Amino acid sequence: MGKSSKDKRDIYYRLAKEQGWRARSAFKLLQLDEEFDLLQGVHRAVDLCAAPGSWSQVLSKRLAENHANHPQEEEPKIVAVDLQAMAPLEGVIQLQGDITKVSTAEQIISYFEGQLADIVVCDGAPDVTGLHDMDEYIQAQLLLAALNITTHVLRPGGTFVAKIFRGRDISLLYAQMKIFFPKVTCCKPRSSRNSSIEAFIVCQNYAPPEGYVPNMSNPLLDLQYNDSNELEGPNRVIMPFIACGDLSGFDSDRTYPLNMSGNRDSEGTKTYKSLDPVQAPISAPYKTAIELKRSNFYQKLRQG
Amino acid sequence: MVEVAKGEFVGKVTALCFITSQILLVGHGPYLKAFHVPTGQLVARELALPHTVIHRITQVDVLCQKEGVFDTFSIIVSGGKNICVVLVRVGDMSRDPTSNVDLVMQTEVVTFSDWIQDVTWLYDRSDPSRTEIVIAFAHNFVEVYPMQHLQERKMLRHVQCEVKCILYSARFYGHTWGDLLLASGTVFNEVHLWRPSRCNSSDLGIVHAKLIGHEGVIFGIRWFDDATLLASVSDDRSIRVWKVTQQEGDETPIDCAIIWGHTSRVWDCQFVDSWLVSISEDATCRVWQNRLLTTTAPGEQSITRCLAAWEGHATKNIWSLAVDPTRRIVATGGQDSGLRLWSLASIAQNNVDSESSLIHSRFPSKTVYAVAEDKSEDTDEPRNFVNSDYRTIVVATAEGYVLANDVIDGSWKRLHFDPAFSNYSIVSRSECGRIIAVASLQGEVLLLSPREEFEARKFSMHSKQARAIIITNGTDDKFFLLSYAVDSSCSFHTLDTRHRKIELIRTINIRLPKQKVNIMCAALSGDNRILVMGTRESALLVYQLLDSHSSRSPGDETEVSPSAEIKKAHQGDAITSVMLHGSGSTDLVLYSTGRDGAYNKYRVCLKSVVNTKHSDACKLQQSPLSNLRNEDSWYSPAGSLIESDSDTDVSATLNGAVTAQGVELQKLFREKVTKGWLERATFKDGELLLLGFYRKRGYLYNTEKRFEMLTVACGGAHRAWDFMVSDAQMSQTIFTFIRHQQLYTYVRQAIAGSEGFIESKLQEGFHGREVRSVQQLQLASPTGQIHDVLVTGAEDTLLKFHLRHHSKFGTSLKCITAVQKHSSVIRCVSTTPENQELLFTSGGNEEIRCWRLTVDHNASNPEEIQVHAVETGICPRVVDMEARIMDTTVYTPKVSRGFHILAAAYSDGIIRLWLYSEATCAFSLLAEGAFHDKCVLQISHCILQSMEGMPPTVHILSGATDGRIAIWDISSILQRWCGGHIATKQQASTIPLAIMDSPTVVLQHHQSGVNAMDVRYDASTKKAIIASGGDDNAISVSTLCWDASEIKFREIDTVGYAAAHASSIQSVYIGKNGAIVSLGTDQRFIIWRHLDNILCPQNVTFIDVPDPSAMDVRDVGTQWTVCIVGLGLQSLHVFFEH
Repeated sequence: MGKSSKDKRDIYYRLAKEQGWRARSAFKLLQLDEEFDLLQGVHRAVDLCAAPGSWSQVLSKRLAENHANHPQEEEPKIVAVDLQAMAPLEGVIQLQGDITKVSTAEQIISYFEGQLADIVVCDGAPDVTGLHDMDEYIQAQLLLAALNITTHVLRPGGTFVAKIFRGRDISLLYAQMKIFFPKVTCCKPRSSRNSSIEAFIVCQNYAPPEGYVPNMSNPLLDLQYNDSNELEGPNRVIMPFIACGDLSGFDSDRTYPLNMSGNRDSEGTKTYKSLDPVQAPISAPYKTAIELKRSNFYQKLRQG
Repeated sequence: MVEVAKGEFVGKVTALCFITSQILLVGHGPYLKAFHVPTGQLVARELALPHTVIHRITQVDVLCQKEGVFDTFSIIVSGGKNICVVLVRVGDMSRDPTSNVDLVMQTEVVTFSDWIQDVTWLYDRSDPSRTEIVIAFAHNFVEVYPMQHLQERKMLRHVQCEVKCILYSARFYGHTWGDLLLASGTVFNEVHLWRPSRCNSSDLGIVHAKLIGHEGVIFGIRWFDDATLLASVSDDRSIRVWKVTQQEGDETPIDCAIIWGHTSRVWDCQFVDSWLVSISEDATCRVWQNRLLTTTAPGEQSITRCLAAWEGHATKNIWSLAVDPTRRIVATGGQDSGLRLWSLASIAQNNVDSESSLIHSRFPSKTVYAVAEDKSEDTDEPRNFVNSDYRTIVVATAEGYVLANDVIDGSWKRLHFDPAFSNYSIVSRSECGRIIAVASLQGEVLLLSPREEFEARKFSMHSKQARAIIITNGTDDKFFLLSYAVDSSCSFHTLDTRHRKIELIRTINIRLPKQKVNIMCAALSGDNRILVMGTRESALLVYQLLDSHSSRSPGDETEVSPSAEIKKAHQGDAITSVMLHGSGSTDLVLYSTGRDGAYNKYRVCLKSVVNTKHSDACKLQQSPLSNLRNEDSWYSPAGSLIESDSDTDVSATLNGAVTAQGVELQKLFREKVTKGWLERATFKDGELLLLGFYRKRGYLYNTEKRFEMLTVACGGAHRAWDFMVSDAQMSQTIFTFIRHQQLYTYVRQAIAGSEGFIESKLQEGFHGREVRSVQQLQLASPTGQIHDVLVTGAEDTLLKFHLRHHSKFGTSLKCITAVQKHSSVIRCVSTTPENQELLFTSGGNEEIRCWRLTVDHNASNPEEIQVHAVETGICPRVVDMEARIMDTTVYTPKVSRGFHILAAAYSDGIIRLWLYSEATCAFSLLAEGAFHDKCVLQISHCILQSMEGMPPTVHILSGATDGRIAIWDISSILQRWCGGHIATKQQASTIPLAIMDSPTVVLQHHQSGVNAMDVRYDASTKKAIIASGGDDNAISVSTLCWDASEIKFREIDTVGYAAAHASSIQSVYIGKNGAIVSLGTDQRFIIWRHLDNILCPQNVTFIDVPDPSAMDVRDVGTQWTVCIVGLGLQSLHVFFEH
């Protein structure tokens, strides 16, 4: 798909480039924050699966605003964790590490000088295979891994926000989250497309079960349907849902004309110039395959 | 009370297992099926893992036994976190196979704590009853259970690997605990080898080898028979074959062969002796030489040869793969629900390396063929030859004989003798081989029929040494001949072969360009008006031939000059073949091959035609879909995008195209296929096949499926060779060439069934991608019989029509028609209840198309019917390419027959009313309505007969991403149009565009998108029920009453159910009996009772189709048939009791 074609189809893609966000997903966190005031009074934030860094950008901007309004309070601290490196961001400490390791949790706490985080966010998603049951399982495991490290680094009363797939077994995940957070909401920002299966789980007021000891080797995975939450039947536990983001704002599904806010050329007609993305996409697993394609490998292949 | 029963299921095939070379077990969603391979029949079906997709079928070899006349096989079926054990009992298959296979469930479904990645069995030689099941889980641990007591989940062992991470794949090797090896494919791109029986001091399994190199997660792992090799496939699109023979603890990097070639992700790769068989997201199954098992000669490239690329599944993803125990048959299962068999045995046939695979034609002694009067004793020799059919070589000899050699029985026969053709004779044939031309040094051309369909005849066509090219165009009695001589004389002859005689009807002199040309090849368009020639000097010459209808005497000669010429079409190298495809004048396409190793594709444009097309475009209100790529074309290869006009101009100029008399060659595509030569192109079964030579081999390359179908070690490019192929399967093939002055022939005559199966398609393919719309139509055939036809529109841009086929093992779908006209996803198919023969389809790229459907009985089998979908109209585009049509609804006004109102929801936030006229097949824009300012998702309508004798009021309902439903009264717009229409009979296109009045009622039903909506009006109570389902998981139901005084609806009340589904709702329906049903992305179908302003769920049914996005309900009182589509299709039968 051409760049300007994507611009037309996706207003938030266009806005992200115009406003300097590394990815359109920045708007999702902004809209979640609008709805839940997630970042109000936050000093220490953790961004899991952070690359390419658009959520860290939002955290950095909003926490700096907090500090500007209340300069007497402590300096904000943001730790961005990812397996792969990303371009540096001002005000964000980068930690290249695995979220399933205790050492990563320990490092985060050491950056916070022994204190715990006010909020943990995670916009990570695995590569989708197309086997829906498998993809949903892997996404759930990623979420549970994020929850697991969160139980190590989040202060009681803190907030956890993560991406989920709204698939067939989403109500089981909800039950799992409810063990740790009294208030769990499924939320879809307006910048997330209506047609996308993606949504966000906003877990507030962290309160682990009494006597719970965070443990990385506990994979929290035994989610089953049972009598109190059935696969089919009347006892289905379904989490509350909230759509967030200003209704009068942009609609991610709507087709907008390109020149609605465009520049004007010398004759005064509106023109549109497609901008380059702020940050190139993060490294894809098929990088070598793409290079081979560029060097015409697949054409040569059959001449041997 | 309500009951729900599941009907047919169509979905991806995720697991395959041959228990014998005759019985193939298949995991199809939750169902386990058995197919009889030799006959291709479905012989058993069982619901094995309800609510679960079967991902693996493991045969417990140690428990296979004979029980009287039965062979029994124990099978472990697994998927997700679930396992069950099934006994397959196979009786005498020589009788009716469909009643001799039983699938007997041995356990209930057993659920484990984690996702299952692999299952195998461990055995005790002394006591088979002590067989154990060992399971590898996604969190990289292994558990062992006794097979006898699986149900109780009585665990015998549990070993966690020291590396704790998520696995995307795992594969066991070995069947005793001590030998058991596990290869774990981690999320961190590595394959880890470990033995669950060897633990460290913390009781964690020790990883003894790490296979590092993949750049993405590992999707599949397979072991070689003796565990010395391991194949892994990955997100990085490569297959890697690892030598895992080194000692445990040896730290040296592990040797690995990397195979690139799949154009998308690879899901599995299995060893078959010295070959590898892989399946991929790119919808191909490929066979590779295993380089680690074949010695490569020094200097040979280290690229793994792809021996076959099988492509029989639609669009995307082959998910499952199995090889039969005799290693002759490969089975593949696709995302499209298709199940195919492929012949591994045929691959060896297609790689002709040794002389033993060739037939050597020994030239006979002259006594075999000499005419009586020929007393000379000189030794004759072959000069030139062609193949005339799949077993015959026609040879011209040095002494002027034309002989036929049957390569199968080795016989030789004289066809003709004429001393005029001694010492110089150029032989050529028609494509079919039925006509042979021999040209002489004196400019004579002899035409003969190897099958003796007409008497041979000699024509004197030139005065110098000549060549001839025969062109046939399908008509039996007429053919064409292009002859030319060294003196640059060239002529085009029309010949007639009626009455077993050849008559020359007409000759046109062809004026060649001034510079010297040697004609290599020629082609004629279907209507015989365009002649294209390719020259050794790399030029393409195009001629327009005059109308051949006017009868002329043979002496009446005319002359034509080139209408267009491209001088360096193949970079100065010889043009070896040209081919014209497509009929008429709008989509004539030219293909050329050259000794530059490339093939080119051109569009042949006739000037006058271009103009007509332009004026047509103007008629269709300025912005029709004529800018779309031409889907009418018979040929749409992947990647051959038509370049834009400006690019075409540039390339034409660069290539030196000279345009005269209104013919233009637009270059569309060029691909260099080989460093060697390309010699011939042919279309078989819609696939472009190219014959080429490179180094010492000749090969046939399939451009569609991108693989070498046949390669023959013939010694290299030859002065003399010929080749014929019958179809894309190469059922009949002949390739003759000269090596060391001897004639050699490769012949292939495939015999049906010799490959272990006859039917290669065990289960029909459905759509390759998500289906977005479905309708259950009832269409009448000419006999008045009503037929149930399912129509589906999908992301793969296909519109498909299906019939339900009922058998002993449930219902299946049979596709009877597939149409590809849409250039983007089809989101919506609509009809009117009154007229289901008229179908409107719409979706991405702002396309709306109208079709007329007809049903015919099959001429050969009146039991079968055919559905024809003829496109009758295309709606003009008014926004732009990126706009999507989200939904449509069709209303047919009673007063004006042949007119339909189509209301469409556009992604730019506007509702548009179109008028479609059956008479003119034109769409005219009647009105536009703007209210939501957001993407409109749903549209529906409701007709109100408020007073007897008065026209009804018509209301449009729209739902958008703003969560609101708006009701619009369009009666005044329709009255204005009807009035105008009836008063003046004016053309619809002159109707002025109206702006719809503001909505009369607005209902805020949802927080975000209204994904689903339905309306039902009850004339007796004058109440309308509007039900909607949202992206916010909620259902809302409003009751409105008709307020006659204000002529509008008034909301009485609205009830909601906030957490109706666990995810977004995709479809709702209000039944005639008042029941409401909803379908959600959570794969649940819920029946609600709507009574006393309360919504109450009555029944929840799990749907086996992922990503369900639409449903259609056939509501016949107490019995409904619900058809649900998503990534597949499932039907439900709902029974209501009073």
